[in-house]
Amino acid sequence: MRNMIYLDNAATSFKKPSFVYQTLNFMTKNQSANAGHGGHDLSIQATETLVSAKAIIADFFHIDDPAQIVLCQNTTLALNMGISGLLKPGDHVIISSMEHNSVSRVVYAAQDVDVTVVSADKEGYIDPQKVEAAIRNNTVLIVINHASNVTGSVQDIEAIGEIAKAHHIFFMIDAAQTAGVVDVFVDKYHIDMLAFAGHKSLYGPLGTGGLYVGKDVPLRPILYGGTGSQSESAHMPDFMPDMLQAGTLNVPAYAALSQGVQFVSRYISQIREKEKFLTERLINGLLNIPNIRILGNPKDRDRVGVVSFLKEGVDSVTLGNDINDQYHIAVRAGLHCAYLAHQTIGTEKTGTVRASMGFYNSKDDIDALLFAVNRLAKK
Amino acid sequence: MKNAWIIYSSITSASRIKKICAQKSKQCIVHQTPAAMSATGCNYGIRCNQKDLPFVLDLSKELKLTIKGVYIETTNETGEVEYEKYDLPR
Repeated sequence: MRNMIYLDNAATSFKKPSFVYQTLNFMTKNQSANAGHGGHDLSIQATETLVSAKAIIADFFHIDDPAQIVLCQNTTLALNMGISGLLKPGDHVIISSMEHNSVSRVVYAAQDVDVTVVSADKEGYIDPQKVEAAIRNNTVLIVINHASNVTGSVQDIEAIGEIAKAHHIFFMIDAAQTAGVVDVFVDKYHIDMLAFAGHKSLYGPLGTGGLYVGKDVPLRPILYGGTGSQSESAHMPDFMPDMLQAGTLNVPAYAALSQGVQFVSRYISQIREKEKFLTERLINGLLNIPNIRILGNPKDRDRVGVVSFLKEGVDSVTLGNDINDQYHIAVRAGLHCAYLAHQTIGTEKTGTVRASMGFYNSKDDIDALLFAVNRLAKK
Repeated sequence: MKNAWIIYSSITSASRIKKICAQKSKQCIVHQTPAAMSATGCNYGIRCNQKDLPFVLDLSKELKLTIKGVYIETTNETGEVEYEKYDLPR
């Protein structure tokens, strides 16, 4: 396969730290027993590996009890577990207009639950006061996308967390785009549930993610099955993590994820600086290309390394395909599974082309994309 | 020397205790519990030297881990292993 420049890190990070590959390989060969479902040495070793991985992840998010973390395949499953496990008929939930479908589709699928969508501004930022104004007597949950996968806009979750706490409403964060690049303090921000991706900015393998659940959140499981505990009962256990975690877990992948988290912990400031540098370089370059429009805030508001842009009058998928086919650069075009966000910024008809940077990208990658867009913008 | 068994709701809890015990140079093993201690189901516990029992109980309390039972393992005159229920201090 031809060499590609990869700028689709918001979907998943492509290159991982070498320890991640090595751990995945080693653990697959040597420690693939079923964690939590057996008393033999290999099963217990696998369980201990999981316990260690969760301790590392808990430390990273400032979570005091690692048992309150459930490891799962991705952010989508984590969001489903949190939202569907909490909401009941008659409840009211508040989301923002920047949510991914992995939030909006879940809340709309909940039976007899009222949904309020708080509109973000045209740059993709939510006013926390609007969230407070949407609160009703039966509001039980506020779900906020920490950073948009379309515009990169980072929300003021500290302010929204204060509001949720003041009104005794559970607060859930979709940290798919921020875990690994923006600090998340569970206690400080009054976060009751945190859904995160392991395979994006935490540099774990594909198929890794997780959910943190606060001790006061009365979640019901959405997944039923063997937990390796209380097997005599017809019901799921009532303690974490077993109450939410059924079936065989991918121990090698979670062990490798813990290596990714340690990598991020060690180099967090360098990672941030590099992503900031690359993002600014891309934005500054795009601003100088005629016929190209950047969506969201180009300069002075808090953002992650996700940049959406459009060529005036051209469908985003056509531009994305041209970038791929002619210049061998992987970007993502279309609606990015976030229709609400595109409605908010006015691109629901066209979609956008999205470039998303990661630690393993270089200045040359950005310059190659700018060269490609410059050429294509003139056609 | 007698061994103590501390039974937890899940293997996760038992594994956390084992990890911390190892850091404190206290040897203990995670085991699936024999039927004599847990009549049904899958339960896991820590098997440690009885002298380390107070440490494990304090640690469990500190971590807010639910203990389902504590047993002292003894061997009778005929060589059979027996488990005597240990009442937790209130």
